[in-house]
This record gives sequence, C-alpha cells and structure tokens, in this order.
Amino acid sequence: MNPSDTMEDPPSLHHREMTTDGVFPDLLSLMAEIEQTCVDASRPDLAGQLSGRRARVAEPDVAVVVAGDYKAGKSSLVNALVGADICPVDEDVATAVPTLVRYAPEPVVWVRREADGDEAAPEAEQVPLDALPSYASERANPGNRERLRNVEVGIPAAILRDGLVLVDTPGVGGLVSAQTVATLASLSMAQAALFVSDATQEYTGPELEFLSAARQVCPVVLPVLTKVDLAPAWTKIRELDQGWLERAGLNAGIMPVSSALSYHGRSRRRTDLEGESGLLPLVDRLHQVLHEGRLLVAADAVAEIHAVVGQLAAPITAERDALWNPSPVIAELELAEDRGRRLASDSAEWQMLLDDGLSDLEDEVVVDVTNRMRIVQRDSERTIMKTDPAAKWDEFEAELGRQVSTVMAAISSLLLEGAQQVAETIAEHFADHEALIAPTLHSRDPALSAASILAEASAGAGAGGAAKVQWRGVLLEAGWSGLEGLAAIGSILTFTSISLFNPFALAVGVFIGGKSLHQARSREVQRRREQAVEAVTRYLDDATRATDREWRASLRRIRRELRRSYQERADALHRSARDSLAAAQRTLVADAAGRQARLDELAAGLARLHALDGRADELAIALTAGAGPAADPGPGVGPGPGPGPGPGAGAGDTAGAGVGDSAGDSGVVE
Amino acid sequence: MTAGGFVDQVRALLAGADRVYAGTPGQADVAAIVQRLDEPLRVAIAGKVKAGKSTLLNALVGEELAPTDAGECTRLVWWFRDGITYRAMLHSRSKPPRPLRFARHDGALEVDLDGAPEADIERLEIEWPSKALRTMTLIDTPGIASATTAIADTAMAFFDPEDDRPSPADAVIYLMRHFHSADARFLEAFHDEEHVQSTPVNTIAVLSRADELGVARRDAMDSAERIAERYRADRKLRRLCQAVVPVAGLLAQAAVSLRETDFRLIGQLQQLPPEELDELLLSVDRFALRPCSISPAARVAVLNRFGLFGVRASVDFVGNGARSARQLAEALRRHSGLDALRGLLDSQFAGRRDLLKGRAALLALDSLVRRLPIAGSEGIDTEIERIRAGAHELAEVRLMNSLRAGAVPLPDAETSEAERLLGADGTDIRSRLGLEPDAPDDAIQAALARAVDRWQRRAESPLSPQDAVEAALVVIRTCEGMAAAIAAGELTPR
Repeated sequence: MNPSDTMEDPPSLHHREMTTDGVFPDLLSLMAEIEQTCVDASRPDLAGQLSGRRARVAEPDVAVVVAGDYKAGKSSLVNALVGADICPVDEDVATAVPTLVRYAPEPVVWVRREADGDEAAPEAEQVPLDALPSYASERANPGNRERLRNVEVGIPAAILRDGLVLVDTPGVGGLVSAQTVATLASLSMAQAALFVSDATQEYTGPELEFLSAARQVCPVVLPVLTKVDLAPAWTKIRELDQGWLERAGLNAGIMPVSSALSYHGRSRRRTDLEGESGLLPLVDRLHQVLHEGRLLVAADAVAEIHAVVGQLAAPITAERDALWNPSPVIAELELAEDRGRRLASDSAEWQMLLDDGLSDLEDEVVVDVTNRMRIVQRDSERTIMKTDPAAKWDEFEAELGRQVSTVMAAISSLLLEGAQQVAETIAEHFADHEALIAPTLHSRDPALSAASILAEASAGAGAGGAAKVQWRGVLLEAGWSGLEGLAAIGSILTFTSISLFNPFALAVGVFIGGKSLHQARSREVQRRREQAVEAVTRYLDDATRATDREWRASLRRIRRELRRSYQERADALHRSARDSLAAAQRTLVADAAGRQARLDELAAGLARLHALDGRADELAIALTAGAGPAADPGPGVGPGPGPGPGPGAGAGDTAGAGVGDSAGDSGVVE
Repeated sequence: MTAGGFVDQVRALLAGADRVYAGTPGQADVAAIVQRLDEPLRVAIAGKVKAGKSTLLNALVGEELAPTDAGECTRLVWWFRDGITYRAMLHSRSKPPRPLRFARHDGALEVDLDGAPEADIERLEIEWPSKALRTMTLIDTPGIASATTAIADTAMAFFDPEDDRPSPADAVIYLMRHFHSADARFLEAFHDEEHVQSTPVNTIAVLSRADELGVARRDAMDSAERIAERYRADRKLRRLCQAVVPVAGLLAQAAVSLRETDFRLIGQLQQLPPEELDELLLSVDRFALRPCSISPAARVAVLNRFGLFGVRASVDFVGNGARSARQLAEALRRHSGLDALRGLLDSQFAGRRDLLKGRAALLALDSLVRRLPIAGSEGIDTEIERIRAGAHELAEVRLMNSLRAGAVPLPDAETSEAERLLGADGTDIRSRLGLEPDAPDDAIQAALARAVDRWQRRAESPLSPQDAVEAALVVIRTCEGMAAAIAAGELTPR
C-alpha cells in the first residue's frame, strides 16, 4: 500500500464545495467572539457552555457506518470512496474490527484495545500505516483475538475533509451474532448507514432482518448495490431488492456502484470509468448526509448562542427597565431570582425529575433483564431436552453466547433511549425557566426559529431535532464506553464446565451388561442433560451479574453526567437572575444626572448583543437556504439520478449575498 | 470392503418388519423403505438462497434442466431421477401422484402445475433418461435463509421433517458462498438425529459460485481453493461435512452446454485488438452494450450463460490453444472444479452406497416403530439396536464422528491416519493406506501390516486412555476388513 500514489483523485469526484461551506468559519468566529464577550462580562460559565459546541462545529465528525453481510464489498466500497486502498480487501472474510476512516493531513493509524475487566479502556496506540492489515483483517487477526475495540485510520482524502467519518464494519450474519450487536450499537450514533448488498443475489432473510433493525436505530439508511460490474442481471436484482425495500416500508432508491470500475478509473486516470462506477451519486448523497450532520451541529450551536446571549442581556435589560420603573421590575426580578435559586438548589424540581426518571428506568431495565434472561434459559432448556448436549456442545455454547449478547444489546438500547427521554423531559422543564429568567433577545415562536428550521432541514435529526443531538452527545460520552462494554461481555464470559461432556464417553455404554445400548444411552443422555441445564443456569447467573454490573455503572455515569451538565446550566441561570436583580437594585442609588448616560451605555451594550444574536440568526438562515434542496427528498431517499450541484448552488448564492450585507450593519432595533 | 453384511442384515430385518406390519397401515411404509433401499442414492443439493443449486444440478446432469434465474427461482422441491421415458409427476400432500404437462424453454423445464396450490405440493418428480442420474437421484431444494419465509420453510421441512421422520435424502451436497451462521444452523439441523445417525459421512460442502469469491479475477479459482483449504481445517465445519471443494457452477454449466456458436463467438472476441477486448471485459454493462463488431444480442446471450468470469476464462483458454468447442468445454469443466466434485461423489457417496442406504433404512424403520408401535414391533426395535451395536460399518461412522469432533484423545497425526483408514480421503484400499493409485500389491501389504501393528500397539498400550483404545480397536477391525478383501481378490490394480 502506498497511499501517496493513489490519493490524487479528481477533486470533482471526491470533494464537493457546498455553498454553505463559507458559513461555518463565520459561525466559528462568531462563537469565539461571544465567548470573549462572556469572559469580558465575567461569565466564564457561559463561555464554557459555548466552547464545547464550538469544538463540535469545528470538527463535526459525521459518522456514516458501512454495514452489510459478509463479502458484500464493504471495504472495497470504503476504499473506492476515499480513493485509496486503506481497508484490507481479501477474497476471504476480511474485516475483523470496525475501522474508522477520517481525515488527517498525513496518513496515520491508531488502534484501540478493549478494556480488561473493570479497568478503563487503554489509550489508543499509534501503529505504522502498513501494519493496518495485521490488525483489521480477519486473516491476521482471526475472530479479533487481539481484542481491539476499533482501528482508526486518518488519511488526507478530499471526501473526508469536512468531517465525514466512514466506519467499515465486519460482516453481520443475520441478527444473532455479537458482531451484529456491535454494528447496531455503532449505528445508533451514526448520522447515516450505507446498507451494502452485492448484485449477485437479491436480499436474503437475514439481510432484511438486519435492515429493519438498523432502521430502528439509525434514521437514514441508504441501500447500496455493489459489484454491478460483474453481475449480468444487476438491474433485475435491483428491481427485486427495491421491491423488498418497499415491502419493508423503506422508501429509498438503491444506488448501484462498482468499486472495481472506480479502482480501474483511479489507477488508469480515466474519468469515464469513474463515471460508470456509479460512485458519483453516492458521493453526492454522502455530501448531503455530511451537510445535514453539520447543519444539525450548527443548529445546536445557534440555539446555544441564543440562550447564552439571552443570559448576557438579562442584567442589562433588567437595569434599563428598572431605571424607567423600578418597583414592579424589581419585584418581578426577585421572583425570578427566587426561581433561579430554587433551580440551582439540591431540592430543585428537575433533580426530582432526574431521580424519578432514572429510577423508573432502572426498574424497567431490571424487569427487562430478568425477563429476557428467563426466556434464554427456557429456550436453552428446551433445546437441551431435545438433543444430546454432548453431541454439539460447542455450537450450543456459541449460540447461547450470541443470545446473551443480543439481550445485552437490547438492554443497552433500552438504557440509551430511556436516558434520552429523561434528558428531554428535563430540557423542556428548563426551557420554561430560561424563558422567564433570561429570555432570548428576539421573541420567537420556537417552531419558527432559524435553529429549529435548520434542525428540521437536516433530515438526520429525526424527531427531537437539535435537542436530540445535544443529548446524544452527553449521553454517549457518559454511557458509550459502558454500553459498548455490555455488548462485548458475551465473548468474554466462557464456560468452565465443558470438560464435563466428553462425547466419546458414550462408548462406555457398550459394556453395561444386560441393557440394550439404546437404553443405556438414554440414561447417559438424561444425566448429561441435567448437567447441561445446571451449566446453563450457572452461566446465565454469571452473565446476569456481569450485565447488572455493567449497566448499573452506565446508569451511574449517565446520572452523574446529566446532573453535572444541568447543574451547570442551573447555576448559570441562577447567576444571571442574581446579576439581573443586582443590576436593577443598583439603579436605586443612581443620581438623576447619570441616569441618561447610563441608559445610553445600556442601550449600546444591548445593541451589541442584539447584533451578535442577529448574526447567529442570519448564519442559521444562510445555512438553511443552502440546505433547502437537500431537505427536499426527505429522510432516506436516494438522489435517484443525482441532485447534482446545480440547485443547491443557485439557492445558496442568492441567500448568501443577502446575508452578507445585513450582517455588517448590526441593526440597532431599539 | 463392501458393506454387504450390513445391508443383508438390514434386508433381513425389513423382511421381518414386512411380516409384522402386514395388513396394517405400516405395511406401505415398510414397502417404501425396501424400495428406497434398492433405488439409486438420493443426493439432495441444499444451500442458502441463490447459492447456485440449480446451476450445479444442471452441471452434474449435463443438461440445462432445472430452471435458473437471476432472482430466487426454485420454490419447490424437484426430484430428478433416471427413467425409461420423460415424465413429470406431481406429488401433493393431499392427492395421489399425477402426471403433469411440461415443455422445455431454452433447455430448462417448464412444468404446468395445473392449478395445484404451491403449499400443497410435496415435490415435483422429473423422470429423465440420463446416464448421470443412474447412480444418483438428484434433488433440487429451495434456498434456506430465503427472504420469503414460505420458501425457507419448504427447504427446512424437506431436510428436517416433522414427527421425527427421517429426511428423504441419503446424502447432501451443501452449497455455500462462504461459511455463515445460517449455513451452520442448517447443517446442524440436518445432522440433528440422535446418536449414531449424526454424521459428516453423508455431507459434502461445496464452495459455490467460486468465481465470484475472487470477484471474477483471472486467478479467482485459486483464491477459492485457498478459502476451501481454510474451511477444511475449520473444526466446526469438519464436524459437519467431510470435504469442502470449490466449484464455479456457471462455468461448469457453460462447459456442459457449450455449443459450436459459443466457441465461434469466443474466437471472435479473442481476435479483437487487446485494448478493445480489455475495455469490453471491464464490466458486464460494457460487455453487453459497448459498440463493437460482434452483435450485442450474441454477447448478451453468452454473458448470461457464462457469466463475466466464464467469458474471461474462455477467451484466455482460446488464446492459450483451445482449438475446438470440445477442447474449450473440457478446459472450462476442469477449471470449474466439477471434476473434483464428481470424484468426491464417486468415492464418498457412491463408494459408500450400501452404508448410506442401510443407515437410511434403519433410521426410517426406527421412526416407523416409534410412530406405529404394534404387537411384535418391540422385536424390530431390539433387532435395530442389535444391528446398530454390532455392525462394524456403523462403528466406523461413529468413530469418524468422534474423530471429526476432536473427541478422541489421540495425537493429531494418529487422528488423521485413523480418518484416512476409515476412508476420509477415498474408500478404495490405496487411498485408505495413503498410497499412490499405482502402488504395487506388496507395498499395500506392507503398509497394511504396519498400520495394524501401529494400532495394535496403541490398543495395548497401558498409557492409552480408554477412548483411544476403543478407537484403535475399530481401526484394527477396519484393517482386518481390508486384509480380507485383499485375500478375496478384491484388490484390482488401477
């Protein structure tokens, strides 16, 4: 592999300039400016609220998971998309470990190992580029015996420059493998999934099962048909597959691609082959996904800007109003301050919401674990009673492990969803307080705010929009390592009792006098069945204990993170309320001569904040305008013949020009 | 080394069973078991949807009989058996068998189901006078893991029938594109018979559509062979089947159906300037649509029958000196892996015909006795047990299972020697002894003597665990059988 030879791809194919690209630097500088304003106003707490979001706008990391059956051509597709032979491609089962491919100015590879037992996950270690196959491929690392969590590759590929992260995954063989569990888990934090199937056959039962599970956790699933260069009947297959998708209720156009033609196009420098490869529409679609992902992050950032600016403005407005008409204003502010104090206190209502919500969730998980494990136990006993445990114990054992993994996956998604609901409830609760203590500067119908429109425009958000994105970040940071750990224990727990079952001990039955062989065997089998049931019970007990430990730890982390994050918000709001009250009370001692001067100062300050707030709105509008055509096809709909850069460019240009003008003269709307 | 003794015992038992069940509903069952014992081996072709089952069946028969299609095609169980005339019979679950009209469309059979509901059809039986079907009745089955649940269920119901009846198949060719959890589940289900019946002896796995594994590159078959090699060493697969071979079914089908016009077309292609040919062969769409001196219709026709890999390989073979349609067909057939599969079918299935048939009959009788116990049937049960315990052939099968499961405490070298002596590499004496096909008689005698000596020591060693002693005793008896066969003059030099 020599990436420097292969990475000079035609920029037309692998990188799209979005008309909105220019808006993001403006957004970043606006956020930096507001952070500085916060610091100047002695509000580092508010600056902190913004800086985390600024980092995400700068590096949005929009993940697209490439998932599908074994040998469907996932790795080849990733290679074709980035225009370099990065992921090992093998005729035999290839990818053993999820491989994240992201942008880096210089090629670099990191490997991340699984944590050992309860310890924290070890740091990622950097390995030479050409060592990648020895970690990521099944041949060199069979069954992932190196116990890697993932491999991360950074390459200077144009398509990745704006934050697209492609995740190549090991093949999923239906729903009951630990691998499927891991892939589904990774899908839950992805912006979109490419569901890859090859053109040599129509969708199989297990593929369709996986597809419908994937759609539950990932809002945008894009079906891709690979290897169309070698399947004579690929159009027929596409038609059949399209029928299956429609019956499954997925209204998405299948995108046919040929990674091989793309490879030839690249190595022979032939744009006609690149065109025939069918990769262009897919690249377009990925840019759209990336764009939507970035919009979502931007929408979250704009909403936060409004909230922060509102809090900065609150004391100024309070002082100004108090100068005109002190007593009612102060009375109101006292109420607000009281509200803020209660919000920040240990006995705040949101604390109760959090505790109640999470303990309900805890109960729900306990019941769920018990029920699911009971079903596994019952089914296992049934299987044991039907067969001779000695005959196929290792298959049975593997199947049991798979079932337990599936249980764990179900629990982790239950945990994540439940926690998200709790977080959203609290967010709504906070919104009421925010509106009272520090309303945003422009009174907006929430549904019509630029941020909401922006969030809606980015199809990836699904229900919940920006709020979901916001909480997904917090929850995943808190819970992810634990949840991922959950899915992994299945492979860690092992039987210790296998040696009890020695199949060849059967032959001893021959020497039991007087009994027919069959009867002797039956008795032996009965005894082994009892032992097997015992072993299963022990195993499931261990598994339940391990699961409990893991999910409880996850829940604790989630609780801690949510509490910390909301406490900070509550403290900031309380501080704003207190500052507002203090500012209003200061007016009581102000002399009449200074009054007008002070009013002018305050007006100037407010005007400045209005200007900042207005700029955020305008940036949001500029982004929305750019997103217009992208939002059109709706979630999961393929571009069909390809939207092309045309419509996006046109709409963006006009909107952009208008914004540029008005952003300058910071409209003083007093 | 025939299993004559064993089959004779089974026959005698069936004669007794016929008397016991005379005049009862079980009599027809016994008759069916007897009939099955005398029929050619029933070999079912199984696998996931679109594994290439019908294509392989056509290649084995040597005619494009079974309909094939890009989409899922085989929805019913089709039996192809040798016959005196051409005939299609419908066996339904609710009505007696009846003949159906059929026609051939481009070679493939089109059977008029005459309004019979698919769910009611047990099987379509095609009688077809064919040399290839004389030793084996071939059964084409719908795909397991089909997205259409009803089709997947039809397949499973055939291999794993309800109420403990044994499967109608004596042996299975299992097609897989790569080894998948669905494949493992299926193979386990097929082996899901208690005790002695579970065996890899009657299953051969085929790595099908082998050309596509290497994405139709010119060395695709070498890659497929490497993968098959890895599968052969896979412990889980070893337990479930006795061999894994790669076969490019489309190539094999192309070989058996190659016509003079095909050969001429390939010749024309080969004559094209190399750059133009290269451009043409880059993708199926290019091959079908790109302007060139050969008519698109002819190109599409050959592409559909050969596949892109088949066309690439054919052009190469003609370039490398295939001078006639026959030579090209032969080159394609050799390259497809079909010969290797046929060799395996001969040595592993046909060579064990009596054993496989006898086992199937015992299983069927056992199931009958359990389903319809009547006065006198316990006697049959006891007799079944006696044959099972006593027949050396079944002891060999049991030992083979245990060896394959890694359950016999023997060193690896001895495990593979035991497997070989039991016939894992071929059931003729030379293969069993690991000798060349042209090894002289005295070499055979010497090798046999050494083997007996070695296993005798293993059996008598006080350090051998009991399981190993048991295994050694079975192997020694197998060697004694070989010696008896040689003494009886059964050893015919090749």
